[in-house]
Amino acid sequence: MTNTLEIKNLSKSYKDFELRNVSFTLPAGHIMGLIGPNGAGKTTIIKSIMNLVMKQAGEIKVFGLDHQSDETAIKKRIGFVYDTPNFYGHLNLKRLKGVIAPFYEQWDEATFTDLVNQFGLPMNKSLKKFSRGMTMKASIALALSHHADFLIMDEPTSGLDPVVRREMLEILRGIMQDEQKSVLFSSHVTTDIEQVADYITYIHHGRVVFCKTKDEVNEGYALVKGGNELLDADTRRNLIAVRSGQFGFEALTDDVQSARKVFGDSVVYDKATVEDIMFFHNLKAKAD
Amino acid sequence: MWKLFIKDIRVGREYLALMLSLLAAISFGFSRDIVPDVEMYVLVVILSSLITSKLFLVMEETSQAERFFASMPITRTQLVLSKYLSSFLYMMIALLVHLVVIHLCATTELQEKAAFLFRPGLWIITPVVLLLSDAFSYPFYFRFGFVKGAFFYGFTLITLMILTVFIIRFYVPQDFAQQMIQWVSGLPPWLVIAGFIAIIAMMLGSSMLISINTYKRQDL
Amino acid sequence: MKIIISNSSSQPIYQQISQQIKAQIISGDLKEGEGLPSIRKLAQELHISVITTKRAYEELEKEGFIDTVGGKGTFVAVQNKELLREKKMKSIQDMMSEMVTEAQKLGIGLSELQEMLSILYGEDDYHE
Repeated sequence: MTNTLEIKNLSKSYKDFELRNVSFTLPAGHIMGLIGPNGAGKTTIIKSIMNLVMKQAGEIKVFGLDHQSDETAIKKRIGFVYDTPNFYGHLNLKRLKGVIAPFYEQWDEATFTDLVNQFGLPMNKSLKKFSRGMTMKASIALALSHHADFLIMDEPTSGLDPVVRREMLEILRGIMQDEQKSVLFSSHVTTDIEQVADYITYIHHGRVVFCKTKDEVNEGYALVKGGNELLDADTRRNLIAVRSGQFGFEALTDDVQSARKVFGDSVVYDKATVEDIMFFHNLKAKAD
Repeated sequence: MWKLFIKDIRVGREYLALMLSLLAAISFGFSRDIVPDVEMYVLVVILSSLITSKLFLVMEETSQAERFFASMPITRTQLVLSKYLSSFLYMMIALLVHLVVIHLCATTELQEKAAFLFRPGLWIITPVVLLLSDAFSYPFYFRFGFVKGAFFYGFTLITLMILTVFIIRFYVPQDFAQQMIQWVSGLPPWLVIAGFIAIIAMMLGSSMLISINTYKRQDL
Repeated sequence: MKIIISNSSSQPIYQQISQQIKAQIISGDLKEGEGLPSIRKLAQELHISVITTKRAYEELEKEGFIDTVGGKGTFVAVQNKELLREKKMKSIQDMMSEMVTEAQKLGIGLSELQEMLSILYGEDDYHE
């Protein structure tokens, strides 16, 4: 199986922020969610892939090609959906399409029309009057109408109400029926990632905390809840971070098997959501 | 690159139409002798053409569209060169509108009073001069964006102009200009023209090179 | 085919799927040669990852319950009658194991259990 995206040791530093040694891979035909708190570096990573931001070190390959030396060839096959897509607000969708389409050899008018109808988008309404949900759908329609094999989206569901978010996720699931297509999207809305991703890459303070399949995350992590008296130097070793309260503690472990051996039945094991994982990793980072 | 110029027209066609109508109105007004001052008119033509050439630059900046185009299969070099092309073409269109209107609508009195306006030479030299004087502003736009860039460029230009005046006042002999003109008119015409073109090419070329190198390293 | 997944169950999702499909094959609800949805279609319908559905199908294929024909899709494997009977027997054995464990907890002896079984068999004959 080929890899749609390969990132190795990507580094970029700004005045008050640094991306360091970011590495992960997205196999073709799958969907990866980049999660992390705001400012963790998700957008910087995405912009680096698209060469909008100049990386300082590392290697990025898309479709097996270098993202800088083969930039144009790659971008022909990428559909990019922006965080703030509402530019040229005075145009309507029909005119915007007329502006964008000539730049793509593989522009498919039929696909675009289908998508616009499917999403119920008005062609003649000025873009500045579009709701956020409609803008997102328009961006996706434009991004999917030139036979792109790789869809990259930066925070596609932010600012959308829950109903529209579900529609968006359903659209993504539809896209994934084609096993040639891959999707990379960043979000800080963990539930969206849990709903739809095959792979989850968690970014925190410019570093990759983990890159795992959803199953690995679900089956490996767990919340451990028990009485405070159970905590000591030994038992804490199995836990990523602990939140102690008046009536007991709540902790995260990334190795349920070991935790079960240590604590046995004296604690309660609960499923850890991606949000829990983020919360406890943050706790750990603060303590370090 | 032509695609990018056409894109600029597609996106801004209403604004362009509005601008051109305004220019036509100005020239029409002058042709009917409403504004009697010829120098004023020439200045207005020059300024309005310059402003028109910057129209789409402003539009792109305010709409944050450049990020979007950078994510399409277009190289940064193409983006840079297309801006030069678009500016030049926009400027030519503006000048053309002025030219056409003034020629069509000028009263005979005006034609007598301001004969030099109707000499083709003027309308050919003007765009070239404008282009050159403006060429070095582009690296500033690519580095700082349009608004900040215009500000820095203006500042640099004024400083340079003051320096030049200063140098001419104190270090250049009085009859230097006359000597230069005499020397140039002594040269064979083809050499003058070739030299002229070479200078233009060098100035434009270096401006473009600087812009391309600046933009290629720019984080968007 | 019917698949219901529980997110709150401690059983991994891929196992829930493979178990339910297995049960339906054994019980005959899914017939030999019947087509199964593609891993992607299943993932879309169940709102889960394609990696999970792939895992479930891989397990079922390993145990001989399904076959994937390249280009055509996935189908319920032609069940060796012997093998199927064996699998059903195993299923019944598992149920009996559970039954015995529960009975022992309550202190019910073997003879009492056998009596209960006879009555149940007898009842079945009666209904036929």
